[in-house]
Amino acid sequence: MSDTGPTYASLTPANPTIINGLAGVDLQTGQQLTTHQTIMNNTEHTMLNMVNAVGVAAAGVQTMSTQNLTTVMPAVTHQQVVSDVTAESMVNHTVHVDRNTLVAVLQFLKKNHFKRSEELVRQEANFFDNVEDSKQGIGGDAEVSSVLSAYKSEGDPAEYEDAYKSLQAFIDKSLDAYKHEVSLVLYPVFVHMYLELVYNGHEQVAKSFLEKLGNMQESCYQEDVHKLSLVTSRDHMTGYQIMDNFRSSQFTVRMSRDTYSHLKRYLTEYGGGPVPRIIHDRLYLDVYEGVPRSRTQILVTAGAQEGEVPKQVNKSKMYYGLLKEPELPNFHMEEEEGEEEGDKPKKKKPKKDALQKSKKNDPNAPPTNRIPLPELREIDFVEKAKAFRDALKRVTLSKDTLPSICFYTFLNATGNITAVDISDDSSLLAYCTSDSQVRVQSITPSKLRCMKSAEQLNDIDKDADDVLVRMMDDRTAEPVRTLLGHSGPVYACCFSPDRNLLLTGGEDGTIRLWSMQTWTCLVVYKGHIFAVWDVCFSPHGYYFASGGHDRTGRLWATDHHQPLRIFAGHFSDVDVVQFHPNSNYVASGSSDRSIRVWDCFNGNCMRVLTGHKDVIDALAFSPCGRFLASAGGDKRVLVWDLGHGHLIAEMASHTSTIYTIAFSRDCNILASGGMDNCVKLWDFSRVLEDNHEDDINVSNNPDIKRCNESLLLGTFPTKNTPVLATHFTRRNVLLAAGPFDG
Amino acid sequence: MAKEPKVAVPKEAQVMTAILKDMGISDYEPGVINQMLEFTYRYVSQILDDARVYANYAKKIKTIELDDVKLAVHMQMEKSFTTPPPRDLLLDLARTRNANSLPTIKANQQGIRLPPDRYCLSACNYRLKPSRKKISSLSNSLGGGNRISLGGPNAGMKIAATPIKPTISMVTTKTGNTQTVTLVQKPSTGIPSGPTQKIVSVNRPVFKVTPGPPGGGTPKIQLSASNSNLSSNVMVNVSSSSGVKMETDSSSFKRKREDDYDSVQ
Repeated sequence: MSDTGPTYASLTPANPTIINGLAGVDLQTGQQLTTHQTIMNNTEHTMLNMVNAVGVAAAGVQTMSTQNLTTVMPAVTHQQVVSDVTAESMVNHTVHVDRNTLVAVLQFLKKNHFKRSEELVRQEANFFDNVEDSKQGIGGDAEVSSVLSAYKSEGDPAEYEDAYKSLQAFIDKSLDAYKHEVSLVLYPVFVHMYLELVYNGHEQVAKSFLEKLGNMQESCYQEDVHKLSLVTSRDHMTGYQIMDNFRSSQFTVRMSRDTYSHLKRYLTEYGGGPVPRIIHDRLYLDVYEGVPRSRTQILVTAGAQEGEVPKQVNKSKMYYGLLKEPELPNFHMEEEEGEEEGDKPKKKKPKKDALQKSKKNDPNAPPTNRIPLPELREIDFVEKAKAFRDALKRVTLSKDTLPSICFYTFLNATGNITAVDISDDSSLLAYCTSDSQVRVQSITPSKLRCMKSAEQLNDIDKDADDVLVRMMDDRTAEPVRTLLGHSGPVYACCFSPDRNLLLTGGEDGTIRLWSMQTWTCLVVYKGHIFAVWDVCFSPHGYYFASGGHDRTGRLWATDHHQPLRIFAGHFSDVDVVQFHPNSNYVASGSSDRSIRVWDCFNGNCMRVLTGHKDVIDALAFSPCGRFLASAGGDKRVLVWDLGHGHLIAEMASHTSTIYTIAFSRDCNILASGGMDNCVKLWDFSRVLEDNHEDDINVSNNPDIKRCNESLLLGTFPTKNTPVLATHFTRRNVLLAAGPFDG
Repeated sequence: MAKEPKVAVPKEAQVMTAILKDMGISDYEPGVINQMLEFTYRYVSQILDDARVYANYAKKIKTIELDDVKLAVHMQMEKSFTTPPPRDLLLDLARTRNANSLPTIKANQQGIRLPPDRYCLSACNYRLKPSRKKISSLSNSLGGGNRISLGGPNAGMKIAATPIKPTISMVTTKTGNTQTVTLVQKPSTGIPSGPTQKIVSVNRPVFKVTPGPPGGGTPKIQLSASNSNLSSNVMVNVSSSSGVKMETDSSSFKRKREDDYDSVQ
């Protein structure tokens, strides 16, 4: 066993270095960091990940393999000295060697031509199978293949199906209390079994496995199962996004301690089959203390591509309160004058109090300087005063006073219009088409004017009060303006709160900022290389967020050509982004059926909300900041409490995908519209009452307000027009828009 | 009645239909099949071409081998069918980017906040070239008989400086029913500029307009002259209400001559 002569010279320069815990072993050879070390570390890292997969220590396999990890590595650096040690340790633990680790190590050794070490390791481990890397020759990724090799197993393909079926039988026989939670492991076990079969080349078995058992999975996973069915050979596995997801992260299943021990009993009974191995390696079982959940409770949070979320994820404190409103000096002067008049103030006062109650400090509000916000200019104060005045004239909505709905129908635009947005003061409407046009229309009698040319601007009186009106050229007034610039369908548009800017994002991966005064494109933001699905301005202006096909959301500021924050974490495209009213948080909904709320301050993911069973197409924060409503392909509107990340209400009545939701200005009514050609109004004040004052059940298993057609206040069908946008004006009139589908 | 034989759908189209069905797509326009087939043909032929190139490079003259095709596919994948970056890379990138704190906002800045000018589209996108004194020679070469003076009331002649390249080129603009042809030419001396100009004499023939608006409105005639002030090219729009109409076929001749002038240039 001892190769006595020093073999430093024979070792190739690429020496993998010291691994944790064995720093003292070799100080001479193992000092340089090479590229191989990164591969090594990554392999090690991922293997440690797999090893640490289970939240609770299981039958001691993990500890063995970690040990093996550290003892096997030095066999590479130090052939003569440590090999003895390794030999012994290997011999002792031959039975318990973690096969995946072993295979990965052997591949690494083979790749780097450590022939002697490889033979040694093989001898000690009695492992003589070929670990040929199938990706050679066409630029394969060494790291990927060695981790994918984790799928390699010696299992008999025929037994997979039997193992799965016996797992199913066991679950059926379990007590009702445990049954539902344990059945959550069926889907991930199925997926990983299938992938193993495919990887090891048993294509036929894999196909029949999928055919027989695919339909038995939950309906929300059927789409993923279909995507899996396209992966039929090992070559397909690399580079395919869904594979990426299953490989790199773990499917999370939450179960109570009792359920877990119940499951463990079955697994120990079963021993060496594929099922226990998969559950140990590939699932993350988040165990909590408490009563096992009922089927309905489980259904509430089930559905996301990667299972549920561990409890810790939604624990961090989130400032969901609103920012303190700045004083409006001009307005106050007017108010004083008003009070002298007599009759009017009585009506005004209670409303004013309601609107300005945020004088006292809200413990849930973020400090105003948490996120740098642009300071308010004079013009902003004027706008705010205007908004305030409008707010005073606002109609309070309730289930007895439903809003009036004004619907804008686009004619002759079938298949063309992709998105519609209405400005905050409800004076402009913008729509984007799939032939790369963006059109802005004025929905008030005043037309769209262009700014005067530079020479003419020199002549106007800059100190006049209405300078902003004077700087526009009256001769250029037009009702519609077309903005051209994108080189592909435009998928999203958003007005800035001061209605001077418009953002659009399209399939060409660029986001364009247009001026509503010169009607030209000002900036092109290039960051997403792939299609941009949604853009959204912050309610205070200056910041905007975007989400696209590259699975990231990005936070930008208008004066930086690169994003300020990158929100990475979704497993699939980010389809919709929305800002919180206090501009500190961004929510993003994705095709992986989860919603994530990100903190603009540091880019961390504050909340992960699972429960949708299909793609999410619309998000809306309530004006009070505490709730988030979401809707999408599963035809339901879900309302989440942001303080705890729990689902508090679910509204199902739509018969097709919902594309837009909007809260009324006083938080009492929620409007939703979608492909089923109707606008529905929901009573949100009932939801508010039921969830008053932190009354939320903080335990693991909140009871949510069930569906409730009782929350539905009205359905307003259109002739044949899907609803693409809903918007409450400042006076609580509901505007909606959609293309007529003649 | 004899049954009409069904039109046989070609085999490739049948295959494509089967593929679409396999992928779960059931609702598509019939033109999609053609587009897909076209794409397939183009893709496959491109791959095989590339494979041929690689095979030639490797001195394998006889046939294209599987490895060549695999390499061609791989290259094509990297070039045109890129996928979004893997999740761990994104997380890494995000971590680096999110570590910087949000930049403070410059106070007291009026107007719209935009990135530095080189990232905006607000720059001037044209350049003025100094005039050249070649006009006299040009006018001589044009020969006589092609001078047209436009008389009559000129309603609202405007001079506008537009960014045009200083060569003779023909710009055809179609507005609604009318088609106007404008000719941009080099500055010629002796043509005074001014908003009210009654007679403008130009060296080149002017163009007509094809169909005037129905009902016989006045066709728009545009010609370009120079503005000696600017010594650049200026387009002067003259709308003549004198009802100068020209034939459409003569227009084609005129256009050819203008093309000739271009080549002379």
